[in-house]
Amino acid sequence: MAFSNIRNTVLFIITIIVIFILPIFYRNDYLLRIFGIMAIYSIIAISWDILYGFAGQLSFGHAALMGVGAYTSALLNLNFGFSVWLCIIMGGLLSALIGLVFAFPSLRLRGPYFVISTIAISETLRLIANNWIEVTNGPYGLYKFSPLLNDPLQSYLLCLCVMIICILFAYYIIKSRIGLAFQSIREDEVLASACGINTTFFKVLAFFISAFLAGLGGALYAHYVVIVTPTIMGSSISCLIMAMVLVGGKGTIIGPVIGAITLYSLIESLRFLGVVYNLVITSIIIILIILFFPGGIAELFKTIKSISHLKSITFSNLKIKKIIFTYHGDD
Amino acid sequence: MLKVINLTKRFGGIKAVDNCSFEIEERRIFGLIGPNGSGKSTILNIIMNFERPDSGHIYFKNERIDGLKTHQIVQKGIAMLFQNTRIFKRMSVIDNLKIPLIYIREKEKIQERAIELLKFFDIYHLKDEYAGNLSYGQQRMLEFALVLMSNPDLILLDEPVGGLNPIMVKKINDIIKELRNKYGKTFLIVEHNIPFVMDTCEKIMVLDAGKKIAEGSPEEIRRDKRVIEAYLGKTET
Repeated sequence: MAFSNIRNTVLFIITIIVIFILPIFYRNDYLLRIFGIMAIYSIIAISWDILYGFAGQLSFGHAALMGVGAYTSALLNLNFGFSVWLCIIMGGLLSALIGLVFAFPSLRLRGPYFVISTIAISETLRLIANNWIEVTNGPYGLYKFSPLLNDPLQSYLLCLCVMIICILFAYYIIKSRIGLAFQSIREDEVLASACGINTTFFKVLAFFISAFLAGLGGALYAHYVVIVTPTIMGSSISCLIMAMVLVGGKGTIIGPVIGAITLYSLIESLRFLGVVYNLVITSIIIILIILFFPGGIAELFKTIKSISHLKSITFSNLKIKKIIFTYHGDD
Repeated sequence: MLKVINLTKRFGGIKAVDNCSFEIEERRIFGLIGPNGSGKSTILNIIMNFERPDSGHIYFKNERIDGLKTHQIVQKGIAMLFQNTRIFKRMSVIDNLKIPLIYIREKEKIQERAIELLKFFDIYHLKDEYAGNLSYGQQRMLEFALVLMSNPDLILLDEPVGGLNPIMVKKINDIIKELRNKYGKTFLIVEHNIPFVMDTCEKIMVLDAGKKIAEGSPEEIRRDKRVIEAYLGKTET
């Protein structure tokens, strides 16, 4: 079983690598841009998965954290002329601090009450971005800051590198004792505390790590597309991030990446239907996947595998029956 | 080892625990019985700080523990087995056992202890299985292993044999006695199964409507008129 799990993971990783390598050979600027955004969304989806899939904290305001990273990085670059890399890291750090604000209600509120608090905080942040015109330029957003790199291919490769680093970082966290503590809180918070886990500390830590990655992704996004508007902090983006995780497979590292690739490529490839109908079709596909495969695409592959396994069992049973029948027949 | 002084807890107008005091000596198996709603489980929940007392103090090894957070109480050496089986169902059996020791760095030591406990409770062959896939009896065994993983000195058991068949009841009785005799553990057991309590515990306290009505050896409790009245009601003469 362990071997087949490893084999599945390796297969998934190879598939993802092949998908992300494709645009490099195709050398199309549009494709590079789309795949770059996919890589960035993968980072943000992984960050939400750490929070919900592993630590069990359902936050509906993740786009706001992404937005904080994007705005911080853009503003620092625009106003103080800091280097892009420094700005991106600062974006991640400020987002991590804002993540602590999200964490505070989680210590006292549960279920829908906590969800409402995350929506409230994210909407507050979006409204600040929308109305603090002197700093954020309001609904027009910021756009005169430095791009990631001038060459589209190099920018794309850079996004890929950051995505790989974030995947490895998330993997390290999840496989460590911190990851075990997160999962124990997700499974049963009372039991976790009865096992001696400082649930307050680990919940805050989950928000901190998750917000840092989301902020980093947001800052990268800002310098990749060279525009930041308050829309980036909207609830539709939060929903997209959540859908990516649920479609790909929550509670896994590779699932959010698969989800980001699937959903973003769906939205883009259905653009010929118009900017409304492509979203309608995508929504239907999301609902179908979540309805029939609550574990996401990762589970879908497992099911296909188990069906083929079942078929092979039935086949071998038939073979056995045939042997017995033949034996009796000979008798 | 554990000293509870004048503990009181109200839920609205109801006094769940009413000025209750008791002491548990080291290496003792202490039973807490009483009719439904007499406040037994509330006392355990207060000791673990799942509920805050309205008044009263709790001392563990001469150190005051009321007001401490649950994880701090656990780190002092108290562990609790819940009334309804509580395990980390979507995690493997072995990962379940790693949780109480995540603050310890030596991986080999944790693995060694987990394997020792899994063998003790006869569920070693299930170590890589998801905990949720185990049978009820096996889940109860895993829960015991989980409680013992942090090597607590005092173990609180909230209805440990509730819903178990007589063979499992006997097994748990043997386990408790072995843990006390071999490893010097102290137990505080809340249970409705009176024959089990009478057989396992050396000292029993009886609660009725949050008040302590009797305390003594199983033999003394069996003969106590107030206990019989609390369980069966008063006889008209």
